[in-house]
Amino acid sequence: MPLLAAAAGCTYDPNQRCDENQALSSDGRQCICVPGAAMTAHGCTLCGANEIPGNGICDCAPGYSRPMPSAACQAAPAALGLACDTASAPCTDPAYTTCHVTSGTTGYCTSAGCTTSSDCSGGYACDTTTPPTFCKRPPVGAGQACQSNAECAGTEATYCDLTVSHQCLVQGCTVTPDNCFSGTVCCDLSKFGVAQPICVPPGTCPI
Amino acid sequence: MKAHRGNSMSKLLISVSLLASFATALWAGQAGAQTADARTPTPAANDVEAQVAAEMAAIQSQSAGGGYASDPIGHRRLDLYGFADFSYQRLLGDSAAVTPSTSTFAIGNLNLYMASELGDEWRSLVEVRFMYLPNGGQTNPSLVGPTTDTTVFDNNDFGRPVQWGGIHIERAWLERTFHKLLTVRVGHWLTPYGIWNVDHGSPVVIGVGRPFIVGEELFPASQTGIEVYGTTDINNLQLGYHLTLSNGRGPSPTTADLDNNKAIGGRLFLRHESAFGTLSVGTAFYRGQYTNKHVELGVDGKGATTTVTVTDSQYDELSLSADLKWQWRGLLVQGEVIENDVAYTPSGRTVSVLAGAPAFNSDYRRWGAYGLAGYRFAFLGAMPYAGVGYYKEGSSSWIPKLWDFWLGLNLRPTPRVVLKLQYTFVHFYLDSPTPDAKMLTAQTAWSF
Repeated sequence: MPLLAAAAGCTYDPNQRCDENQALSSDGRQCICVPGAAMTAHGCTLCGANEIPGNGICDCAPGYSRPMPSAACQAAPAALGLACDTASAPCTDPAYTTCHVTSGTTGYCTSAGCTTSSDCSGGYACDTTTPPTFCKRPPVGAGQACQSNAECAGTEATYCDLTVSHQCLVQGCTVTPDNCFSGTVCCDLSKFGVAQPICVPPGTCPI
Repeated sequence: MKAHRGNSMSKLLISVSLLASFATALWAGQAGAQTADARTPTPAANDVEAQVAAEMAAIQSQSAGGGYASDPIGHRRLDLYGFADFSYQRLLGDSAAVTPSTSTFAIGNLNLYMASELGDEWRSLVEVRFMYLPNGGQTNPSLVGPTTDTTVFDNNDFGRPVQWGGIHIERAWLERTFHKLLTVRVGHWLTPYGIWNVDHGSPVVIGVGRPFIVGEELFPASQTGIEVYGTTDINNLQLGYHLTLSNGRGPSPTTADLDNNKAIGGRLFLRHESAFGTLSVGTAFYRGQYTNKHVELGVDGKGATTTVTVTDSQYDELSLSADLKWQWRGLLVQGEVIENDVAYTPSGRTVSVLAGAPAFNSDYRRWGAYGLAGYRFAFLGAMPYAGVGYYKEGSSSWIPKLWDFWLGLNLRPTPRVVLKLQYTFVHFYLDSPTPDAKMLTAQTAWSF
């Protein structure tokens, strides 16, 4: 009787072949994330308000950004974060006149002269490590799910943490002064074999 | 949220029952051994012959001699026997490209059995397959990319190149028979299901290979754990059973179970002999969980180094099968139906390798069946045969389904040598039109 009971128990349900937030593809062979859900390592995560599915994570919708990597997406002023070029495309909005250069002559529009992050909007944080101070945007790509550094390439978070979070982290920060974005701290893990210091959540750096 | 399906209580009951049986059997065995030791050792029992014969039917049942030398007290020390096969295969016409795509000679199997009668109904059997692999094999399941090259340069022969091969341990078990109804086997054993999973030697298989679905492992081909089996006779009817408890499938199932969910299985069969020949029917099931996971080094919230277990893949599965075999004079008719259901756990669903947008593998059901008929004539032991098979692969496969047909001649000029010639036709159902595969294969298989 136990044998029969064990054998009779269903394992496969032909009407439910996928998990939560997934739907069967049109050819009936794969499970795809439902609209509005991001594909993670083993499942699909439904994105929240002002979020859109990204590469392994829910990104903020255009015009929104996160104050911290784990915070909700907040509306950003239209002119804040616009791409700019100090040589050819200056920032024209009077509230965000600073073109913060990230590569060559290109960067994004923000404001300068902040004292604390409360002076910044749209999830930006005041960077006081180098004068003049300015409202710094959250690092692009930080928190994105990854399996290798290649998946983090082209973002501002180029180190893929394969030990704990499996997320893209910012690398190359300085411990003193700590120039990581608000909500993270610079951590030197060179004795663990990590070549450059990386920005990690507070309390997770063993050094 | 999909409910995670399972029947833990039933599995627990079976696990406890099996372990209890094993413990009882060991206790009884110890008691029995003490009794037997007090007696004069008896000659090898007929049951031993029967068991060895069952393990290698091709060798034993067709052998004119068939016997093994015993020592003076009737205990076998070590019996060595085995089988091998050599084939030639070529594709015909505009056949689909299957591996190998060129006409090829090949040694397919070279298996050695090491059997030992240990006395007092204890027996051991080890089967290994000697392989030229991994040389020439591919590690990519889609069979694309460069092949493995195991060439090394022999220091003892002027640095001349030599290609080393490998050994696949097919099974390694110890068993004791307490009663015709109760034999307990522990170790690594072939899963008792169907007709040709346990009796898998090339000389006993009618065609140049086992039917496609048998090799697809809808049941695991072998398991590591405990198997209990027995038979009873009622007039011309023999009834038999097998119960199994094992690690189940996994990346290294013979050495480690990566979850605490032991797999259970069983088989029931009956064999009836009458004026209309011998009719055997059987059914089997297997239920288990596959888990592949690994441990990574991490840092916890307090800054201490810790380890994190990452699940790479995990699914529950249920396999069912039924088989029938009818032998009447020279006539042989047999068939099997096998099914395998797979349902991923929420934390173990894997990414699909099929083309298109990133997606996950869906839960799936795969099944297949085959039928074979042949007639063995006395002249040269010739058996013309024909068979047809159907296989519906799981949804995550490149080949959704296929059917095949084979026609051949099996010659057995001596009990230990078999010559085969077979034409095989395979029709694939793919997303894009694909030619059928048409092959001609000649094979000689022998036991030793």
